[in-house]
Amino acid sequence: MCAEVVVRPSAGEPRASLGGAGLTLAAVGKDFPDRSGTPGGGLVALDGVDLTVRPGEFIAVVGPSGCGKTTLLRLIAGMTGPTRGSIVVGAGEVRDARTGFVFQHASLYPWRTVLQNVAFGLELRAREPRRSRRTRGAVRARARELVELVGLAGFESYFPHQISGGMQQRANLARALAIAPELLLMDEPFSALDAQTREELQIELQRIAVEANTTTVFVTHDIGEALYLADRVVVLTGRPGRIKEVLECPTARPRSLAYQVSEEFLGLRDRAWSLVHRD
Amino acid sequence: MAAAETLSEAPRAAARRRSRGRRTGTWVGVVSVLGGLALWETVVSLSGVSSLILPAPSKIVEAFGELAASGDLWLDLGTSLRQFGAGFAIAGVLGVVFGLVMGQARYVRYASEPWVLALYATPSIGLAPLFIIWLGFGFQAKAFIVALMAFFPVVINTLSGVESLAREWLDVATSFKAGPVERFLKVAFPGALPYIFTGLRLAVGRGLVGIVVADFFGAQQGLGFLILQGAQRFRTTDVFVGTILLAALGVILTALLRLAERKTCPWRLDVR
Repeated sequence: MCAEVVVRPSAGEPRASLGGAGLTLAAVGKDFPDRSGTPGGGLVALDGVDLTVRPGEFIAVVGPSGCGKTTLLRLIAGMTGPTRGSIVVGAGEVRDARTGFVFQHASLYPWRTVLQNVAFGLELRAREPRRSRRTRGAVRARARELVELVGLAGFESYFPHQISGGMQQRANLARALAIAPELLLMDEPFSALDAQTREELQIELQRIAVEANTTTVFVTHDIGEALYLADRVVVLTGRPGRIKEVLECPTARPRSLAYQVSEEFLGLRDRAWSLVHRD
Repeated sequence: MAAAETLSEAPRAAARRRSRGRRTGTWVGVVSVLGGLALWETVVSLSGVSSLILPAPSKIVEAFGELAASGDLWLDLGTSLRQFGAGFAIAGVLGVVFGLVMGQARYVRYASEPWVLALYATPSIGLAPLFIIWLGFGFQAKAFIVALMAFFPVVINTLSGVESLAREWLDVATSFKAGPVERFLKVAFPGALPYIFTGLRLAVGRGLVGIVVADFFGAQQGLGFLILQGAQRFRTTDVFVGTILLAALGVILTALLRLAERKTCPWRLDVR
């Protein structure tokens, strides 16, 4: 185990800038035990999920609500372990991987300013074990870069409740990206925003994802959003969550808004829609 | 950025409104207290009630001057403050640390919760004689009684602070693979801080009760001693001097805690 970490050629900074890590899920399953303890009464949230994500790829996951999308993301993030199967990030295990997670909403720390929130991951030992490298100056400089990348320059010293929902999600994205993640995981990050702000952030995310060049897994219930943003869209079925089909969106990213009226997009959307709503 | 100005304008205007509201509130409070004192003075002088039973405010001020001039008052006040300070500091530190640990470690909580709740419900002041038997009449026993009184509100409020942490805040820490100490210092503690301050404010009141009661069970100095001796020697004015000083201490300490809260939790300013 230890040896594996040592020989990992891409450990550390360069890997992220080289386009994030690959991700392999093999026969992944996750059960939640029944709270009352009845044997066999638990819930099979995910079953037999096989998926290989190339470094730098943008994957979207769609499916009906309760189909295990969020569970899948939490497994990839190492926040919970799979009941069956294995998950490999790069050449190592999930718990060694550097993952940036963007939650649905309300996950900024209200006692931290925008800049301090973005710096959160940088202050942790998991990110940089050498204390000498975690100096205030270095952390702040890096956080400032990210604040700029997501277009929040000038708002560094604001507290989360003083900025709009769209700006909060920008800050969330900056926080996740600050640690130069091998994997960027996003759980319906724009679902709580109004339509206009959502569209604006979708365009921004395209730019930022290409610029940060990391591997992204993006969970959403919005088929259009998934097809617009992703290289491939994974369609899940519900209970137990299984992969029904993986759709390819060949047009190169970043894509213009016009992509959303292209034949490719509309064809894929009809296909995805019928897949999601068939059962 | 134009948006920056419009955004920062709103909270600032709100802050101005609030500070105006606070100032009005202060004035109404001052007028109310002065009016009450004037009424008290008038009633006492009109009814001719003995100052042994109810001394007029002017008599209390007079007694205050005498006690202050003789130096006894400062000795009593200093003694009580030292005892209170030591006890309160111990209770604050232990209460916060223990509350955070209880909130984060399930089994510590299961094991300690019945004790904490039972001891909180116990009128622990009734045990004061016991502590005096164990620790003597000196500084240690007094500080211990203050600490015991002040500890529980701090623990219980810190614990509910940890319980109130949003699940997302902890999820973020988990997703960044924060260690247990980092979760503690960077999430649990700052997130629970407003609750911790509430606990500390409640603890001030209980700690002051502890001071007085501890003095009642034997002391040569202290505000409780001043009150007790005043009552025994029929110097009712001294009883009032001691009580009013204690009330003033409570108000001042609470105000200081509010100030500290405002300094350390600036994000809560706009919420309040």
